[in-house]
Amino acid sequence: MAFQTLLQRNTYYDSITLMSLAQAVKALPGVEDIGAVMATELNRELLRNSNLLPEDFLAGLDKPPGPEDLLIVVRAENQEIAAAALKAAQDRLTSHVEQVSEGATTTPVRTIEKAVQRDPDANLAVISVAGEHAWLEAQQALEAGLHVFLFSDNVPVEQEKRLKSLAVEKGLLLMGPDCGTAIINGVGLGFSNVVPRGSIGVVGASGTGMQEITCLIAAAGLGISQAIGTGGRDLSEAIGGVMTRKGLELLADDPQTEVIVLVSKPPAERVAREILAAAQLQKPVVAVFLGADPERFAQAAGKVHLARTLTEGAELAVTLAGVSADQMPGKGVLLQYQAKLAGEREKLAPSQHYIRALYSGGTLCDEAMLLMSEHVGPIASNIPLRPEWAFSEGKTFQGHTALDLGSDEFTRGRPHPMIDPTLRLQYLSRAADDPETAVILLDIVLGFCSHPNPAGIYAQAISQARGKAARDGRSLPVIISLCGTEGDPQRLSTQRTVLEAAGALVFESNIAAALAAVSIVDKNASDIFTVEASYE
Amino acid sequence: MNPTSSMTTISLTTLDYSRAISHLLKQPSLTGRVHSIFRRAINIEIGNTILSLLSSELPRMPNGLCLSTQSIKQLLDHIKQGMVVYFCRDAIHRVHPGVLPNNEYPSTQPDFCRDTIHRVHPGVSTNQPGRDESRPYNPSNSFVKIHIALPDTPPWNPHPPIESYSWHPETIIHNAHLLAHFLQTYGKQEGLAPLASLLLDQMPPETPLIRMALPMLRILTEATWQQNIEQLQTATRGLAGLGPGLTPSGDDVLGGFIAALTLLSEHISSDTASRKHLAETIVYMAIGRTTKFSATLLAHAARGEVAEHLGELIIALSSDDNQRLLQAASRLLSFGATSGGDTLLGVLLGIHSLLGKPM
Repeated sequence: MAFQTLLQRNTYYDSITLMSLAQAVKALPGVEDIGAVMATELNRELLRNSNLLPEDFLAGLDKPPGPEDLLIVVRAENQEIAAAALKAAQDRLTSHVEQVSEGATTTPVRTIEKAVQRDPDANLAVISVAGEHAWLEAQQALEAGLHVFLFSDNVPVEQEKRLKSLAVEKGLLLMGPDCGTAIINGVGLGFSNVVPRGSIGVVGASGTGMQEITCLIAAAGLGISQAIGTGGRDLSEAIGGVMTRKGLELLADDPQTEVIVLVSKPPAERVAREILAAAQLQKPVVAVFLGADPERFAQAAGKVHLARTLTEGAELAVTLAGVSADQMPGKGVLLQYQAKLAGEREKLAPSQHYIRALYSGGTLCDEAMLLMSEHVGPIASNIPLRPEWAFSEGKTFQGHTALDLGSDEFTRGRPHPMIDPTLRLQYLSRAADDPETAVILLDIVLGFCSHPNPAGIYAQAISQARGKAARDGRSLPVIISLCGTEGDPQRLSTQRTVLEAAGALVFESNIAAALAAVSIVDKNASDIFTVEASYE
Repeated sequence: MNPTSSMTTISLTTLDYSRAISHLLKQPSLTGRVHSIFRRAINIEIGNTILSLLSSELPRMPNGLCLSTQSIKQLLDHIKQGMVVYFCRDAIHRVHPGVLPNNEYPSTQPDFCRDTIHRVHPGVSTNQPGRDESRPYNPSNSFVKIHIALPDTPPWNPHPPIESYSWHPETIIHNAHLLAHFLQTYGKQEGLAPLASLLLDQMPPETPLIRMALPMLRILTEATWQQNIEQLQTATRGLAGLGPGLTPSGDDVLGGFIAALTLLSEHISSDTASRKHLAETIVYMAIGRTTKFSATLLAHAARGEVAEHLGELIIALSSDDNQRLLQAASRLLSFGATSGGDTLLGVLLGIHSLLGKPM
């Protein structure tokens, strides 16, 4: 039996590093035990009690060890093994230090080829360069055998077709172009949320749609196996649903996936039929074709369960996974707010008639407009549901209004509103100043790549807007459609608390938020408080 | 040589900071030393406390400033352990170590707060008092100045809003039992989490760490219930600094225990007595027996200031919502190697003690 000790003064490593070091060294042949602890008095006693501290340890030291010192002791069959084991421990610590500093100072590579050389184990490339150049990077990545997450938009449709053909030929995923969200093996790509791993797989042509669905599923206590983004144009006539089909195949074969959800805007008819045909799987499949009347695809649906909204889709998926959707913050939550919403309606001044919705993305804006227009009629928008509902020239607000502030005309030369709230705050202020505004509706999407504390920014603006309206003799209800989870960096409950403290009404389902806005302007919309029968 | 010819400035924006360190950040100038550096955190030793600069990926800490991951990376480029740092109202200045007399910081003269370069003599012995400003530190005469700007939004409050919730003994007992099961199932075996078995009237496994800690934990819980200061001191002497980790296992248990005392004793004690004052005894005994970092967190806990994930768990104890409670417990358990589980054990032991239940 032999000992080797190492005392490093004023040295600190995180506990995970020390634990994995101890496990690795203990597994070496001939090593009997190892201790890696801060050299407090009690830890020295602990090592002694574990026969891990040689009796002469203190004798050779110029001053006694203390709580700020790291002590590593190895006990092995003989001195040679002990010395080698201690060196292995030191090498691991040194390489850990290098990794920490390398993380800050590594020179970034500039080509796919160099990236693959540096990390030959990588199997996915995340590409976000200007659209006109993105196809080349994506092609190189596919040819190097990498799956691709292609965040870039403005990639010509012909390039997309070629890239997706190449991907299929190589058995790879090309998620994109214009793919904002994916969650692969628990790792979020792009704008994504921290959700538990679980049994529901998602394939989507809508990034925010996937975010809303995965967050609602997480709120119901379930988790996501994979969330495969396909890019916004995948289900168009030109592309034909290539990656959607690939995603369906992968999830059908994935042992972790028990229920599959498809999310997109209504696809072209031919493509819809083909996709629904491909979705006739043993596993249950829910298809959310946003805004489409389920009757439109009923004949082709077969075993596929059709849903019209993201919340309905999430509720169906959760139910098919064998769990009650009661915990999900869906339309049912509106009942709890019925009296409060009626109160807000009663406080409106005679001039206040209209909903002003300021969305950061098209999917949730579309979904909100779809539901709201069924109750309140035309909704002017920069992405109108009908051509005749487009804005007249020069108008910012026009009756009921819903703006997608994430669309190209608003984001040219500036960051997306999910990252930078500046533009949306300006519109919030303008909406608040307009005496015809009855209610302001906003979406706030949390997660990676989004603003680190949107509630902190919007709460201030909401308080100010409501205060100003109050001084002008108006109440100003503000409704938030909040998409996120407790695990997100911004933390859903914290964001909710801050927003509610500013006077906002917060809903974690977009359709609940939209219908809440309707109830404030339309006293005849009592049917929005009735909850439909369960999906059985 | 023009002293400003090669100055690098890094501007960092604080996303958030703990209200508990506001008093530090409001001082006109402050000196400290880089205590330790991790991939997502940098700890600065300031007097007897540690200030943590944390990546936004980490939960908020009572002694922490939250910076973006990019800001942390920028700091990692320029900061080394042992460096002296100066906080100067919205700024940190870096000066290379080895320049100053041993363990002495330069006086905080107003001119440190101005935009100046501090030229220092290279290789000056730590035995030499003062510093020689006539010669450049390094041939390139380059320095780094780091600005940290505080946000306009109010700082995060590490004291959970206990008073906003209703605390019913039956709910606490039910939830504590549920958490003990959870900890027994999911807690790591390397720390003290296996002692959750005792709370379920089962025998825990025997490890050298548990053999040392268990008698002290029994004394801790009994002494707290009896409000016996002397026994409390004995227990703390037998736990502070014990076990693996930068916050040793014993400290993590004490931290959770103290949090339960300071935050819950007035709401759930079976004899309605407050036991908050006992937390200070524990902290006092721990100082010098454990790492400075751990002692800092214990001191915060004694003021009811806890890490974000611990605060959420404590609040969730008041609720009937099992799912919320277990989600909070999962988040706590995922913190560190054994820290989360050991902290949870401490909370549960604290609750048992306040309810007058022997261990």
